[in-house]
Amino acid sequence: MDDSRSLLLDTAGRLFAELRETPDDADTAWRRVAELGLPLALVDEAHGGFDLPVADALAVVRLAGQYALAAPLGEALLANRLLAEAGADIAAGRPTLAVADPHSPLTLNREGDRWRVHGRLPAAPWVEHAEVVVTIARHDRQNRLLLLDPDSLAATPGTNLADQPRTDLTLDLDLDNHRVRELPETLGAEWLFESGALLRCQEIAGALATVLDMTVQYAGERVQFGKPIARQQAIQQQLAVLATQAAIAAGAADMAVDAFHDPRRHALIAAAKARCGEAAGQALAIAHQVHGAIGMTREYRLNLYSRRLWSWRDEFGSERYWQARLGEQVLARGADGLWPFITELGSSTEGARQ
Amino acid sequence: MIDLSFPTPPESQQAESFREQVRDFLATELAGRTPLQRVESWMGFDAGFSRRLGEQGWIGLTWPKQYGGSERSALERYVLLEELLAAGAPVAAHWIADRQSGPLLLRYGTEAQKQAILPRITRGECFFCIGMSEPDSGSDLAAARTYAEPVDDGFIVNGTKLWTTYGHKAHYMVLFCRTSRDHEDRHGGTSQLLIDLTLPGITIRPIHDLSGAHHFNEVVFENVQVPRDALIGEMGDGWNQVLSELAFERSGPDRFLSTLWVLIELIRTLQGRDDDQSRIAVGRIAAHLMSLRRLSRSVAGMLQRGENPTLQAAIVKDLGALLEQEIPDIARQLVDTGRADAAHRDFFQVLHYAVQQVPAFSLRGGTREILRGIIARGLGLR
Ligand SMILES: Cc1cc2nc3c(=O)[nH]c(=O)nc-3n(C[C@H](O)[C@H](O)[C@H](O)COP(=O)(O)OP(=O)(O)OC[C@H]3O[C@@H](n4cnc5c(N)ncnc54)[C@H](O)[C@@H]3O)c2cc1C
Repeated sequence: MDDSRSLLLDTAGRLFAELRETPDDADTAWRRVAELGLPLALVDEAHGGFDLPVADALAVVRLAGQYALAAPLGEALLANRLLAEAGADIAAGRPTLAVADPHSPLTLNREGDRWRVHGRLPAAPWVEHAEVVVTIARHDRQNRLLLLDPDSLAATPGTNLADQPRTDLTLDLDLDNHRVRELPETLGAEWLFESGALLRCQEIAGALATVLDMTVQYAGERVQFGKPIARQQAIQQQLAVLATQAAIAAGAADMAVDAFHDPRRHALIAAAKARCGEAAGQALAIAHQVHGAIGMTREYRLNLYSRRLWSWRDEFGSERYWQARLGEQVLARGADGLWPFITELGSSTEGARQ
Repeated sequence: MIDLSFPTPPESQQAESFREQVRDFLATELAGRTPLQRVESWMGFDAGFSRRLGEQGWIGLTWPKQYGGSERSALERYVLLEELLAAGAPVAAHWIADRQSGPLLLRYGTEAQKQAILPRITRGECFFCIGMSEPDSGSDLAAARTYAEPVDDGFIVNGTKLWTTYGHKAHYMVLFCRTSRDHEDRHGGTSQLLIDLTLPGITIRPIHDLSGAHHFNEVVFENVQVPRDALIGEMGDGWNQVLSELAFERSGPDRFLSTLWVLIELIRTLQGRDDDQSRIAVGRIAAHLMSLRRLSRSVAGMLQRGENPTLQAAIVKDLGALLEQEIPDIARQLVDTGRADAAHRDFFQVLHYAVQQVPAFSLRGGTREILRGIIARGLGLR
């Protein structure tokens, strides 16, 4: 790991560790994270960011998952990147993003000298806490970033099962020109959905690393029948399986991160999110089994991770969703295209490493 | 934090262009082979094929030129192996020598052993088998009883090796045995010998597997006189040598591609069907394959750099065996196997072959429980 990356991760890690003591205080977490400038991690220098390699910036998101950070750092990071790409002022404070269901995209039309947008943005994260909500729509073969004012939106607040704010937005409104900005051809609504899935992969990988740590530690401390349960071979074997799931989730998330700039990112992120989601379920089943009843309590910290993981595996496309998308591509290539498909995706393109 | 990191797999343009070369060669070589022949994967034995592979310089690909190798990178070797497996090439004849015995000799063998054996391996003329398991020594390898009694001019070997894959077609065995009568010293009293299987006193008997095929053998040693220069590495260092030998074979593409041809024929069978169930199931397997291949390539990179990824290799093998074993089950969910359809004959043949092989995937090369024990040790639990 090179110096700037480890410096960033050390600094962020120290802050996240401190914030871990108040896991429900999202406001403080937002503020402290913004003070460090972390929401700018994916923005280039010209727009006030750090010019970090994508992999380093996204490593912070994994770290946030590892510490169950109360603020939606990943969403902010991505939202700021889009604002910068669209030439808009980046929101140093609290930007968030929202995505339409890939099957029912927003409609965007020109009406006089304004824009009219129509559609739904289900389960938009952290809208009530945000200064601006960004999303992507397409009009006349041009991707556009929409800058929505949270106060002007018809919103049905709710939460995911981890109590993280998720709001259903129904859009039927006029937007001024400065709120509708051109984006490059590659950055469409699908790109945003994939990128959201990528964030969740990173968070899942981070959270599973902690779940493994906690569970191994707990098994070493919990004594039954006169010895730590970690000494029981049945428990050791289960912990080994938990480790394999944490490892494959990390590998799959790495694959998604490397695909950030890759033109074939759809298939790579599909595979990663499907695999991470599955790993989350399997790993948690073991973590809870090993913890026994204490793991079922609100007070014990495991639920901070397990409830997030159970939510994250559903968000930005569940296993079922991404498996179907990937399976569609594999089946389209046919039996003899399977292996070439797998190997092509495993080798980098020029763009993938920027 | 427990460190389970798998570094980014190295990229090599050279390896990717080599891939094309391998594909071209295999397209001609394997033309006309049926799916049933291809699903045999690394159990398919064809000495002629191995010789032709050797002519390409593709056995011992990474070994020094002085021993007949091609001095190419570990990444190119990875590409070669996965292309051979994915194409269903009959690699069994040279597989063990190339993957396990040759590297062992390179590392621990005497100069004379290397010069005598390695060039022949690379030409595809010299095949090996592994003499580890015994009737009373499976997972507990250190319980091996076969005894090579040190005498003036060498050893006298007595004992029985079991499950010796292709022992009946191999020229040599790497024998793991005791060389000390001190049975208290379970590890220190062991050594490895290079056994010429034509020596008097060696009897090789077939054991048919449950499908009726003959690859397993029982190899009995009765007062076999083995010369002193058959010792591989150090006397008494057998245990350490055998462990390093095993670590090298635990993370390769052979640990998750064994049933790739079931998936290929499944996809062929599903053509024209337009349903979510197929898409989801096939997409799930693809997601597993892609993720696991990344981890496996990452381990290849670690090996290339001379690191010792015991834990990571065990993780890849454990996940790989699960995937290989699951593919036939998933295929059975998608195709009504109660009604064998003549149009899908290849699929059923491949499936029936695989169903009979999959139990072995979590036994050979270290059982699932043993691997998970290794992972647990990596977690600091034992
Ligand atoms: C297809 C195939 C090819 C093979 N080829 C070769 C070969 O060429 N050369 C060779 O030497 N061997 C070969 N083997 C043998 C292989 O290495 C052994 O099968 C393996 O080491 C397990 O030994 P075993 O079969 O005696 O099972 P055992 O060791 O008796 O194990 C039986 C069961 O008990 C479990 N078990 C054992 N010990 C423990 C423990 N401490 N904790 C928890 N569970 C435990 C095992 O995991 C397994 O589930 C081959 C095996 C197969 C299936």
